Amino acid sequence: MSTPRPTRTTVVWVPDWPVAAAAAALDVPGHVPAAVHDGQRIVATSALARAEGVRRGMRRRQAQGCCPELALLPADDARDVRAFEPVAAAVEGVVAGVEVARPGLLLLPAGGASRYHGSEEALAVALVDAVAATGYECGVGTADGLLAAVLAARTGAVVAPGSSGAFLAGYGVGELVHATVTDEQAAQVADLADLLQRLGLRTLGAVAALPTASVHARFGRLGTWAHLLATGLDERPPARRRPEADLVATADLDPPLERVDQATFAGRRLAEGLHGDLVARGVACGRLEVSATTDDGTVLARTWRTDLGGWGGLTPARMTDRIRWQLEGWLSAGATGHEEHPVTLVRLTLTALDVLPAAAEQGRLWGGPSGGDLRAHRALERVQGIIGGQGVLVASLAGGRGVRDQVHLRVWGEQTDAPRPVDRPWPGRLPDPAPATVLTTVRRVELRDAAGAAVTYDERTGLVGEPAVVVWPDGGPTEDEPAGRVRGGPVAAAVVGWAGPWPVCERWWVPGAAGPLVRAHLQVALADGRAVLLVGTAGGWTCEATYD
Amino acid sequence: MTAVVEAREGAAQARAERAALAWEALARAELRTGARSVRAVPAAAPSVAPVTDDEPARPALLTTERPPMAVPPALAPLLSEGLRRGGTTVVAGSTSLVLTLLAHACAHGAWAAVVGRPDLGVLAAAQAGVDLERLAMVPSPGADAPAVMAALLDGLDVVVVGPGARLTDADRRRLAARARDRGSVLLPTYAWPGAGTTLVVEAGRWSGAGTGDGWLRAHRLRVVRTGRGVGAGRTVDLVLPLGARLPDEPAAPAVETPGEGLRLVG
Repeated sequence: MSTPRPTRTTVVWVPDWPVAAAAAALDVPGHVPAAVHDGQRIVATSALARAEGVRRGMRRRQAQGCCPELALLPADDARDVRAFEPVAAAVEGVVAGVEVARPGLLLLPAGGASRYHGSEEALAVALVDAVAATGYECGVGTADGLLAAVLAARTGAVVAPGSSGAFLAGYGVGELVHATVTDEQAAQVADLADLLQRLGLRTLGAVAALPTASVHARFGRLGTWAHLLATGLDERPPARRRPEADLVATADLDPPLERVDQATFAGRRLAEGLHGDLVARGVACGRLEVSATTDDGTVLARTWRTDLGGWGGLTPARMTDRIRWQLEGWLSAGATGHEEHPVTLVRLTLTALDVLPAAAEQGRLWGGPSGGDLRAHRALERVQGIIGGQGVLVASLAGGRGVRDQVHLRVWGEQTDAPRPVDRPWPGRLPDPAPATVLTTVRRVELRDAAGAAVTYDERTGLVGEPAVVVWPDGGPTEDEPAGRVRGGPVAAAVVGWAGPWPVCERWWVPGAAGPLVRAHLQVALADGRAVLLVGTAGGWTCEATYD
Repeated sequence: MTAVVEAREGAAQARAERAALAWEALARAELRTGARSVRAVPAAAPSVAPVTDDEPARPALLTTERPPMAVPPALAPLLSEGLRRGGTTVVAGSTSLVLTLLAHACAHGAWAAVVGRPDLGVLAAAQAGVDLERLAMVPSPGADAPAVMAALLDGLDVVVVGPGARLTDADRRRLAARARDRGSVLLPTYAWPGAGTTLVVEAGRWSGAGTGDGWLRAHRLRVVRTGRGVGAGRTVDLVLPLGARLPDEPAAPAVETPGEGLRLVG
């Protein structure tokens, strides 16, 4: 078995981040011992408080007993994340693409960055300087694999390539906690470390010496993870954070606008601004969100894809087109359910989503759509602007047995794959040709034989009786009569030919389905020239589709 | 006095010549750039094309510039001029016939939309040969049906309208005019006032299903063309899907032209 080489990882670690963030937010001077308290226990302590004997997990009284001048600060996860953003941004000024493992801990692949800065030590110096500019102290460590890098960051060490296993061997198993990201995971790992201690496996080296298969058999998934880290390997390389943020252009409309042409002028200015912004940064966007705030506070938002429909050069004129279509849809009567007074807009916002460098866009093999295709794409987007994105559908074929299952409908512009592959045999599928009309609501019918007795289908007995008459209890076999018409009494049609049944029993393993439901398809040709597709279950017959 | 009349006639003549020259140059340019496919009009075609009746002010260039879309060969006796761009052709009584027409019309890259038919069998459309990549569906346009239809007629080549689109007669007239203007084909599946061509399926019969054996294989239709045009009153017997063999009899579309001598006017 070949193990993948672990990524050379650099870790930037700000010690006791919750305390540092809270102290900065609440203006607690650095010479006061401080700890963060979540209302029940101490969750983090500063180095000074630790020196006084304050530990994580202590109760408030206990901690104040150890250190009477302790500053107890409230815990706030959101503040921790928010305050860490400047640090992450400062590190991104040195290295492009970092992963925030948790507030206080940043991972970055060391290879390219250390080559750029000359050496891993030079990179560490640059990182420490960058973070110091934000007012925090940090440790930087470089090693193969995550755990070794985290532990190296405590001492500012650089572990030579390939020697992470030896570096880790001396540490205790409790150090595994530092490689965790969430509190739940930390609790589980602490339990595991406790178990390993009791089994006599006190160091990471002892854990690493165990055979992998045995570790998995005895300790499960978490044990495998611990073993992997203890040997100096890594589950995955650091996931780089996407550096480009979404670009926003917004305008407050004063006075509020209620006419499409006025609002389009405002949209045109926004589009030009956003386009200039995109060009200045050399980026393109995958989606464009147009959102508007009405005078009663409702926010209307719709996202347009830009890689479909000939977005092409992403010109302000094309953006303005989208904005205008969208505004026409919103400002037309009844778009937001307000029939009584017209909608007025007080704010208009354009957001470029999925921002990526312009050169990274993948063109199509034969270029973008052009000519009639382009015209059709724009017309369909226009219709989406009128009746909403969900109103325009395109279909593709999917695998399946029933006439509905074999069709995969999706919204125009959306890219989803068919749920079931077509190129499977699908036994029990109806032979071609397929019915041209698939009723939107299935209708109950009665099937009788020549003597007037009901024809039934049952999973044990199969089809009992020869169909001779189909009776629609509530009207004719089609549903395309005008909506106002009241359906009359039962309508009967004589059967001139029938084929089937094609029994189907599928998806009985899906939870929630009421037992194995066996149904049968029956094709029936009627005397009036029509043919219908009936579906029979033990409960009776329904008409599902019409061959017309 | 005569000099003034002559000068006026001369000016009118010169204007007509200049206009003719301009139209010719435009047609040449469009042919060269491939902007539109120009086709010579057959001798009989202008007399049957109602476009010239409706818009006498337009020169014949528009008519010649819109090559009709292909129709199945079996329907050629009914639609001898093809599926006319800009025209309204009602196909009532059979969804399969609509899909077959759609498949032939869109075989060469044309786009189609189906409005107000939530019950359209997409699988049947695919089997009839419709390219689903270029078929958009607007199952329930709701109150905005006229605006949706207008937008689709602007951009797509064929628009099928079903009864699910709520349109008034005034909307229908406006949409037909829009289709004429944009050169797209309007294909309602139910009665449409002012339609140029109407195909009605009078009778059909399915064959292939016995008494518990076989399967529904072929649909025999009798299609009648009503309305205006040369084919009006003609009837064609058709077997769908095209190319299917009837199990009991050979498939040969028979053409009947009742009262042909009286119908051929102009």
